[in-house]
Amino acid sequence: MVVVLIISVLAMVSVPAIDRVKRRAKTAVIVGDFRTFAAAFDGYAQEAGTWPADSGAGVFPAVMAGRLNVTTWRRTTPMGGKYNWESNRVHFGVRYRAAISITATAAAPLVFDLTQLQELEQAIDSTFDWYGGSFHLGSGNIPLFIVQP
Amino acid sequence: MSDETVFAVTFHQLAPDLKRAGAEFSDFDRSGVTLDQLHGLIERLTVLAPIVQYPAEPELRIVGPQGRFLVQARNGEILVSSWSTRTAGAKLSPKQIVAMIMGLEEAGELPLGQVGNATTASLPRRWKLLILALAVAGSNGVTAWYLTRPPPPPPRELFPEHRLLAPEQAARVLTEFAGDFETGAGEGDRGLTISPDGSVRWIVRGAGRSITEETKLHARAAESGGLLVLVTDNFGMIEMKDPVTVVYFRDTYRRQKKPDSKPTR
Repeated sequence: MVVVLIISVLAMVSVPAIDRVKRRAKTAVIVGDFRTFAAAFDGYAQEAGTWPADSGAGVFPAVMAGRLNVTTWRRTTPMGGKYNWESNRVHFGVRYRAAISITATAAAPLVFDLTQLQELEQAIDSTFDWYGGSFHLGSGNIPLFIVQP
Repeated sequence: MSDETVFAVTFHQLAPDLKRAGAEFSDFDRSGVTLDQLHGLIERLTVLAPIVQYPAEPELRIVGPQGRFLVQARNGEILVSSWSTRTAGAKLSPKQIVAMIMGLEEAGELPLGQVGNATTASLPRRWKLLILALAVAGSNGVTAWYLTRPPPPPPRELFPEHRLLAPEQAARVLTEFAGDFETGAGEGDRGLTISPDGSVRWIVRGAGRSITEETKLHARAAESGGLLVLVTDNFGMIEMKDPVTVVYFRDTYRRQKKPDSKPTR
């Protein structure tokens, strides 16, 4: 019984710790993806003089072929939802020229996870301002990485 | 009803009165020894231990309900060994030795001079098992709760406090809100279609008024800060500023047309 209790207590302590580690790993992957994608879109804009046209969640912008990894873009993100290239979209009353969001789709739901969003905000902007810096909260409370305001 | 615990004790190299020890004393068995008597025997062996002379190696071999125990007088001290309790040569006081023989962990639990009853003696162990079982259940319960708990709702600055309305009033509010709303007609603008049954269609416009994205939501009528609002299941709040303007996630939407109240065929 003592052994069972020790195992139970270890599980009780380790489950939240594992959860934290998993969340940090997800944050690292998403931040890496956002920065890689933003650099690729920025490179395209430098050469073409314009941003790619707006596309839907999980839809690969055709003009980015050869600049972006299609599989990485189309996969379900570690926190659910799909990456979404946005051009000229309105979020919280502000229109952004270029941004990457994570948007829920029927196949990839996005559950609101405040802790995950706070970790993303902290990792990208080092502050807690949902509507400032590079990481914003978009309409629908979705993660939004601003490429150009 | 006598349920007193008794022990069988073998005296090895000991006089029957435990006042002397020596190789000349042959083994002597004593059965029906009560707990108090056993305590007395061990106390006497403790007194004898400092004066035992080599080559005498006196010992008490005790058989009780909890197993076999060996209490030896060696080098002026008494040592206890038992296969039952995985003890080898432990230096304990007579009271602690009796507690071990009774299967108790604490000498304080010993019912010496009072009960000497096996049923009573096993009660603390049951309590310990019960406490352990409760602790196991509790810690597993916490783990299960952690794994199955719903995600915390957004903070108030993102999703203000509200109170859902009663069905009749909610139906009136939904009818009032129902209609098509848009932030604009350009690319990247958003549209909202609110139905009187609470279903909400939220779209993003693409080029040429095409629809790039469409989200289906459900809204419930509520009151928040003295205003009548609709609360959507993505933690959003649709506020009516005037009959033709609603605000959703701080985006301002204008009513496009009045809802058609007559059913179409």
